[in-house]
Parts: sequence; structure tokens; C-alpha cells
Amino acid sequence: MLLRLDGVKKQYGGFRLDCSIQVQEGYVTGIIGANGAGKSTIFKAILGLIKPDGGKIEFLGKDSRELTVLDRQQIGVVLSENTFSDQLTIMDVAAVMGATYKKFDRRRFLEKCELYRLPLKKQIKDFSTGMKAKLKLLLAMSYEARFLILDEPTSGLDAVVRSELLDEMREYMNYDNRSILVSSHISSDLEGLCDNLYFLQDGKVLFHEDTDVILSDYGILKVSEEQYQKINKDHISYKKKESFGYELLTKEKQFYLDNYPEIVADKGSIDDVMLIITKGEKER
Amino acid sequence: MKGFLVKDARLIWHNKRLFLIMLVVSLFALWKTGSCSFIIAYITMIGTLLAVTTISYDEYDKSIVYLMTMPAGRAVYVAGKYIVMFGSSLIGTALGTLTCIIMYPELAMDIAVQAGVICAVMVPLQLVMMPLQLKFGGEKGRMVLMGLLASVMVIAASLEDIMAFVFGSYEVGLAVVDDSIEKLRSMPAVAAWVFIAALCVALFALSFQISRKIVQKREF
Repeated sequence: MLLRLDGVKKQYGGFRLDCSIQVQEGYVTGIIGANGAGKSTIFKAILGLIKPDGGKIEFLGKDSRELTVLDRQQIGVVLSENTFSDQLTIMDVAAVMGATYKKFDRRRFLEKCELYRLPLKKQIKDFSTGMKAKLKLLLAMSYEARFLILDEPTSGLDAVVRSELLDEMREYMNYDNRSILVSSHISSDLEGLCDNLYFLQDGKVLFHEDTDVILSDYGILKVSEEQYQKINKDHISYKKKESFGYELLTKEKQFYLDNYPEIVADKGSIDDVMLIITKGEKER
Repeated sequence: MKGFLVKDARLIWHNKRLFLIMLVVSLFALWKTGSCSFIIAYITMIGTLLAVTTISYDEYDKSIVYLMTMPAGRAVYVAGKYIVMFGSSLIGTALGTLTCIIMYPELAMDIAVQAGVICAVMVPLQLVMMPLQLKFGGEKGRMVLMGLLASVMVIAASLEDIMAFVFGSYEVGLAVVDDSIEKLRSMPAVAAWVFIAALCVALFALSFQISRKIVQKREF
């Protein structure tokens, strides 16, 4: 296991994080949740930027507080905050990275910057939001990190830039033994990228599942009040009251399609699943 | 460490215009007043401000959060700031001293002594300033420092009363201080220098430990 958060707790006023998360080597794990769900708190706890009130974080096989400089050379980071001061240029940043990371590939980094039309000698303060986001991701990928920790890397970007960045992440995963932990509140971004997903709400993991399983096996059943009373509820995990009756979340869509042909069963998109989990209630 | 130093050097370079203007102003003041001690102190202070400016930039756009994820560690970040502060102020002192010596070569020895005294005053100030900057950030830190300087001035102004309170009377207190200074003076020159150097190292160690703890305790 590359990363394991075991009962990690952090209290901020009225907000309380209490979660357990695992990231396996070679996998892309996504954390999805609304703004304020606790995604950034998790990332900051992993990176040692905040001190958890309880729980344990195991990272690269050791307690995260014992990470060495060499361990940190293997971690690429994108946070919601800036990377370097806005006063610097990409050429400055390349010099800093070269002096910090042993495996920093200056030539490739500058080539990528030029490919994405990022001006090398212009101060970062003059960059657009999209340009800054591209720079953050290119920096995280510029020194052959084994593990990327990406907090909302596509937040606030248009569809074109988001697609470009997602392609970069997919390209990064073409190499062996690499992993990504990425958060977003845009489910479609994670749907095509992640191997498994954690749904986070109010600091708690509500749900964890492989993305393929969500897309193939999960379904949203739309039933009337009468159908709801009669239906077998063994495989129903969440229900949500609607004007026509109920929306029900099931992991056994095929079971209901086979046994209740009169019921409308939609394919469970990640958005649908997230909505019914966050707005609905547990069936059992 | 090297990465942090490169970053700070580049940040200072991007602000070169402001500091060049300050240098030109100081040269003009030197030409007008002929006060070498003022100019050396002024340029040394500019050097110190350069380091403070790099902290302000790290804090201003929260890039410090990313810096703390880099493979160096918080203590190294703090050490880098001390190096930048001492380095840039030392360059400032050297520049000021050299300029004065070039303009007044006949006073070279006096100017060198003045530079030494200015350094002796500036170093403790820097050692106090660094933890304050790291604790309160660029702007707030400067305000706290000003408050501290004001407190020192108030203490200096009420020194007579304070000594009278501590020693019973001002005259007795003065005698105790005189006695201590005399003891220092009677020490052999080497011993005095060793004493001063040890004091500086102890003050630096204290300042560094406080700064390190401030940054290590901090949550981002």
C-alpha cells in the first residue's frame, strides 16, 4: 500500500474530518466531494502541512512524519495555493526545481511549457488561471515523482484546459509503479481517470468503490410508492424521496432489471450516485 | 537549501529596481551629508530588508504552503532565511564601507571601525527581527518590530527610574554598570573577542531555535 490514512481526525471549529483512505501502487484514486467536504484537509494532512488530532498516516511504507528528503523527492504536489511566488518567471522556477529535485528534467519541462504556450520569461502574476493550473501540474510531473497528490487540479478551468490536463495525467500513468491521488468536485473529470473513488461529505467517507463497478453495476431505480413497498430491498443501499416516489441506489442493477422489468433503471453516473448518497438516506 | 536560496536570489533580482533607487538615494545622501556611518547603516538595513521582502512574498501569495512540501524541511527553510539575511546585509555593509573608503580614503580606518560598530548593532536587531517576521509575516512583523523598537526607546528614556527601582538608587546602579564595563575592558583583547563571539553565537542559536519552532509548529 502506497498511502494509508487510518482514522485521521482534524477539528476546525464546526468542521470535523474523520476518515480512512487507501491508495494502492499503480492506481489512480479519486476523492470527490463538494467544496468544504474536507478534500484539502486530507491532502494537507498527508503532506504534513497540518497536524491531525488523531489517527495514523502511513506513506511510502512509513509513518508520514518520518518521511525523508529522499522520500519527498518522489512526491509531486498540486495544491489550491500557488506553487511559487507570482513574482517569478518559469525560467526562475526551472532554476529552483533544478536546485531542489535530483531528477528534474529541465529540457522536457521547458518543452512542455512551450507546448502549452506558457511564456518562459513572463512573471507568473501575468498568467491566466488556466496557465497557472497548467504550470502547477507540469511542475508536479517534472521530476519523475512516483506519486502525485493533486488537490483540485482542474478547478475553475474551461473544458479545453481540463481535457489537456487530464491527458497529461493519463500520460503520466503510462509508466510503471506510478500512482495519483486526485480530488475534484467535477465528477466527469474523475470518471475517465480514476480506478477507484471516495465520496467525501462533511469530513467523512460516505462511499468507496471502483469506478468500473460504479459505471457497470450501479443503477438508479425510479419507483413509485407502491413499487417501493413491494420491491426486494436487499440490494438497495440509498433511497431518495422524489415527487413520483423514490430513487433507489443499487449495486445489483441487473438483478432488478431481470426481476422487475416494469421498473425504470438508469445507469448510475458518478453524479447520480453522488447525489443520491449525499441527498438521500441509507436504506438499511 | 540550494533551491530556497536560488528562489530568494531570483525574488530579490526581480525587485532590483526598488533597491537600486534606495542605493542611489543613499549615495546622494552621502554626497550631501558626508555621513559615512549613516550611509553604511542605511545600506546594511536595505540588505536586511531584502531578506524580509522574500518572507513577505512567500506569505503574500501563500507560496510558502508549496515550499513546505518540497524535499528540504522547515528547519532548512528557516536556515535559508538567516543565510539570505546575513548575506544580503553583509553585502550591504561591504558596499557602503567600500563606497565611503573610495570617497574618503584618508578616513579608511575610522570608516572600518564604524562599519564594525554598525554590524554589532545590526546583528542583534536582525536576530530579533527574524523570529518576528516568521511569526507574524511581512507586514505585521514590521509593525511588531516597530512596536519593539518603541518599547526599547521607552525603556531607555526611563532607564534612570528602572535602575533606581532595581538597585535602590540610580547612582548605585550606575556604579554596578561601570564596574561591569571596567571588568570587560580589563580583559585581554583575545578574551574580549572570544566573549563577544560566544555571545553572538549564543544569541544566534537562541534566535534560530525560536524561529525554527515557530515554523515547525505552524499549520498551513
